[in-house]
Amino acid sequence: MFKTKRSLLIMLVILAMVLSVVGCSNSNNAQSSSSGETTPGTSDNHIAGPAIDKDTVVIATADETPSLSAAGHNAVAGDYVNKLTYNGLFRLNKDINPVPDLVKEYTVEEDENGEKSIWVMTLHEGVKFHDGSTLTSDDIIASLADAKTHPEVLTYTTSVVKTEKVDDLTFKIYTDGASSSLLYDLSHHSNSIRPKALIDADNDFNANPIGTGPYKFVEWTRGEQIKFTAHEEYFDSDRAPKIKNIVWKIIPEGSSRTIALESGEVDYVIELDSTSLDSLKANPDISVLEVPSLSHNWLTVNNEKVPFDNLNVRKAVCSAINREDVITVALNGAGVATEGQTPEGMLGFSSEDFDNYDVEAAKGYMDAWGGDPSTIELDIICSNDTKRRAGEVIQANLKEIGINANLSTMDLATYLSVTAEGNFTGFIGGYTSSNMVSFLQGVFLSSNINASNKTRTANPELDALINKAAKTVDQEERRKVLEEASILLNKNAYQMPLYQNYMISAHSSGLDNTFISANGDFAVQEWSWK
Amino acid sequence: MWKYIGKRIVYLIPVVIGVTFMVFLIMNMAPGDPVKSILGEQASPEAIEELREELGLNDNILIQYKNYFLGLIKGDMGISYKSKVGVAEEIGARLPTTAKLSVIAIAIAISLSIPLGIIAAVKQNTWIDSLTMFVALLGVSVPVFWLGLMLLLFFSLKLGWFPVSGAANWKSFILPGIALGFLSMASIARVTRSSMLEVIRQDYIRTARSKGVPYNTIIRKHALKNALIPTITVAGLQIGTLLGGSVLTETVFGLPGIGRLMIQSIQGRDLPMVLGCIIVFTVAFSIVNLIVDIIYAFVDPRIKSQYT
Amino acid sequence: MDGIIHNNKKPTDALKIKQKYKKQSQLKEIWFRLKKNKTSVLGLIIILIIISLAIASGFIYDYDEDVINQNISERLQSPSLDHPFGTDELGRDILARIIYGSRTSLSIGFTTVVISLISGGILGAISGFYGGRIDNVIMRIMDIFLAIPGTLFAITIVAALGTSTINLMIALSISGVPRFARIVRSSVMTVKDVEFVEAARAIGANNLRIIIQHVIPNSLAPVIVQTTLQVATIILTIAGLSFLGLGVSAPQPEWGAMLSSARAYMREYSYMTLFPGLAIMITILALNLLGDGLRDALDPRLK
Repeated sequence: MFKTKRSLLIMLVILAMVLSVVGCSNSNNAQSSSSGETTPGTSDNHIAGPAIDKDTVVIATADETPSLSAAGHNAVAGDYVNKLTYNGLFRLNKDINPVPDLVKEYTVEEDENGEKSIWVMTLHEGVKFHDGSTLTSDDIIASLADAKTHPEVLTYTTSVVKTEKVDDLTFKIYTDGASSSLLYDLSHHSNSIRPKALIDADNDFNANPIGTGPYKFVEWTRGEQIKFTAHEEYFDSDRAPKIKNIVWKIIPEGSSRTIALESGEVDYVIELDSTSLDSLKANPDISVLEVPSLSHNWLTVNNEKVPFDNLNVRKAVCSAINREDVITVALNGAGVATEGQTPEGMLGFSSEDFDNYDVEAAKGYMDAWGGDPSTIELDIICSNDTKRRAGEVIQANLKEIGINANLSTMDLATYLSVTAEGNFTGFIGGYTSSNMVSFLQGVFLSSNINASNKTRTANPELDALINKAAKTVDQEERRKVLEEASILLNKNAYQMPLYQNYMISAHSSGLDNTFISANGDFAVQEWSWK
Repeated sequence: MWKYIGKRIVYLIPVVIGVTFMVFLIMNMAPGDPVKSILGEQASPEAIEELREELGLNDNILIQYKNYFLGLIKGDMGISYKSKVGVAEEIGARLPTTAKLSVIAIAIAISLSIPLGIIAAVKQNTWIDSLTMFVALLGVSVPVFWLGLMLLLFFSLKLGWFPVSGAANWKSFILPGIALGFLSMASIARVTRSSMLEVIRQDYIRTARSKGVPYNTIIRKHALKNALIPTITVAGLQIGTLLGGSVLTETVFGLPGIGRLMIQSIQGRDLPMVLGCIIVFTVAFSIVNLIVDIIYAFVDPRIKSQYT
Repeated sequence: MDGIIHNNKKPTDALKIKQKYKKQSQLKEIWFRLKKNKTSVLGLIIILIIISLAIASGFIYDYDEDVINQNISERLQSPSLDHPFGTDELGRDILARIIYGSRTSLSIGFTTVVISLISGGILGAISGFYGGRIDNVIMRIMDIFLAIPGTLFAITIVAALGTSTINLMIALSISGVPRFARIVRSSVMTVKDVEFVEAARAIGANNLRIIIQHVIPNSLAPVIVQTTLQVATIILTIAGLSFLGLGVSAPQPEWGAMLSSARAYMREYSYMTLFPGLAIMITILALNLLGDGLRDALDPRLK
């Protein structure tokens, strides 16, 4: 059928074609990024429409929200869109401190035990919901009660013990003794305020997300995009939305989001892929926002398993890890090395007594332990690509002190089950929270063993400090208690912190007033076109 | 004839029951608690227990299947663990995307492969034949996701002709359609060629030729009609490959179709959603096969006579 | 044939000889026809090269040192003399990983095909040989398997069992079973009623013997073709599943997994996506060329 020569020739030609095609694209890319002139994307931009349209901002995000309802989910992707359609009683400002949102003013009163546990709050007057109705205390009470019925957000609804209406604009919230977490919880999306009438009517807030927020829901094309339009009667004129239409586009692939931004298809990318960071920073049409996050990531070892019950072994592992290498490989450099057992940037952080990278010190700890490092069994579970890359660096680091670690890959669901039950020796994990108290409670409180306390730490002294901090409303006093806890943790090295990754967003440089805070929050309603 | 069709439809029922039961069992063997993946790392044990109860996960597996199946008969595919929305509703929203992708892919495949197959047959044993058949073979050999990446790299990134992700307009479907269609094009072209060759050798063609009918007319009027019967069959069977390939294609091009929904649901252990996707795929596959068989029965007198 | 039946001295021996002769000549003829088909020979040569590279890779490269170990100072280097295909995000040589990747793909590919061939073959043989109710039950179960498109089925199983190489192999083996069962069943059914089998039965040969002596050799041809093509399908599916993150897991080198992690770097380092894809394409192409040639050689009518 075939003549040999011909078929060989064809093959060669095809090979050459493919090679030249990719070769071309490669060299052209290099040119465009080095010259810093117009990129191929923008020069051939045929979809320039949205970029010049000053009424619209197209936002690209990786994950689709599971739900538009405020209380039925605990997903970051959902939190972002909830901020458009709802307001809470409080919100977190740029420095991640709670500030009043729907609440105009509040006072804290003492109960019969002398504890400051009665919160009297007054609402802004004339706040309008998207359906035209006016906000009253009844809506607050109904919303907070409804949030309590959703197991997904149980963590954020327990601080509110009881609510009580005083008049149409005033109400009381009772907490269990003094509470430092109430205002943070009220800032969480699960406690967003929705109209009582709709809650009573069993409204599906996923299909019809009526709130007081700066944007009204228009349309959701599943898997593709969600459209919003400005809420004309927004209560806070200082923070009223300046851009009329928001298109929330789902682009799961990182490189695709970058390309879409360059070509003007989208104006704002929430999660920017760190691989393209350098070339985007050099692009004058694009602004990059970078901030170290409060998400603390670590190598966890099971403190109940031998020899990780030994402090010297844990300290040896902690000081053997080259965090800079981990960051280069796992995050393409987009992170900061941790210098403490608690997240830097939170109230009460301390780097005192923390074991930084120091191979000699690690070997010293190993000697102090006295056992044979090659007998240590450590299986590091990695549940995604980033963790796997971090794990590979750690594996190489531990070899230096004689520990042969093994890496195993697991999907998220299995990993969560296995680690919560304590059936592991090690894994790479992390924890994100907006304040130090909830961080410590989640990660180290002994009552959370078999749940989120995965090192299985049971330290009564630490428990006492955490519980004390939770009851301390005064910020300065709380800081002291938390600092004590941080240092105690550094001394004990229950786990091996690695990095706090950067939150990286990027947008068309025409967009003004953008920021991201350390917990990833951003305020669409404050944006405007230059 | 109707008897035949009726028999085929009835026959579909045990297959669907078997598939759902099998998939239900397999998915329930999965390690990892779906509830934990819904609630995430920071969930408390009470929250987990409460949600387990709410989702009916504490029941016996057979009872769970019975409840699921009874719902399925009524068209209720359950509620997604993750979004709390009806599975049928969610799949319904994604169905047009996958359908559009498949139709465009098969249209591209057929419109390219049939002419290619015919040319190859007519020019049998020439370099044209060799080249077309080589391209066809290349088509079945290229991984669809890699072809997709290469198309994306060249046409979207370098030339900027097409959007990189999503299904905003018709342009979004061109590259995925080509990537997915290329695979089927190859198989169809090959079958067209060989059935064409078989027909050309038949007596009546030779007779027509000897009578002096122009060659092109013979191909167009006589050979083509008969040669296309096996082609239809293969084109229909390609739907199965297409559905499998759509999972990868939708992932590469960020198309919000059922394939991508399925992968996302697998990662999130969203069992009802995964089941729903597989059932939809299976039913679609079976229906297409059924239609192909029926068409075949109409054109093939042997099957026709059996049932009339 | 007539001669055998009427030869009542030593019928089985004569039959054996006849069969042996027939087999030999058949294989010889197939080889002869295959040799004439130049593209298939090309496919065969490519496959042999890939297989020998896969075997030799253990001598060329140190697995830990070249394939697994990261070298952060050399990450993301474009193709050069030191690294003909460049390096990946961990500074590993892409050529070394591609060559080692052939080990992964080929070994999983061949093992799973052999497993599905044996189990499918047994099921098909039983089904075709005994017919009736057994046949009905087995084939209806096979129909259920066939009702789900292959890739989707493999995805489902891996999703349920968890991502690991063993689970991947289980998934792929199961999804290959029905196809082999069908092929073997139909060839068994055609052979079953052929005269020499009836003859063997008439002289009291037991079922097992008939299956081994007559049925298996006669279904060999279509099975060989299907095996070749199935290996190709399996390698493609492995790559696809690994690309989705449901297949071979890191750090073990596999082409689809390499493409999956290269994808994030596609914009700046497109060579990372090019080479693993080419490796898959060439392997599959060679297997298809060979499979096609075999099919033509076995069934000359299709030429």
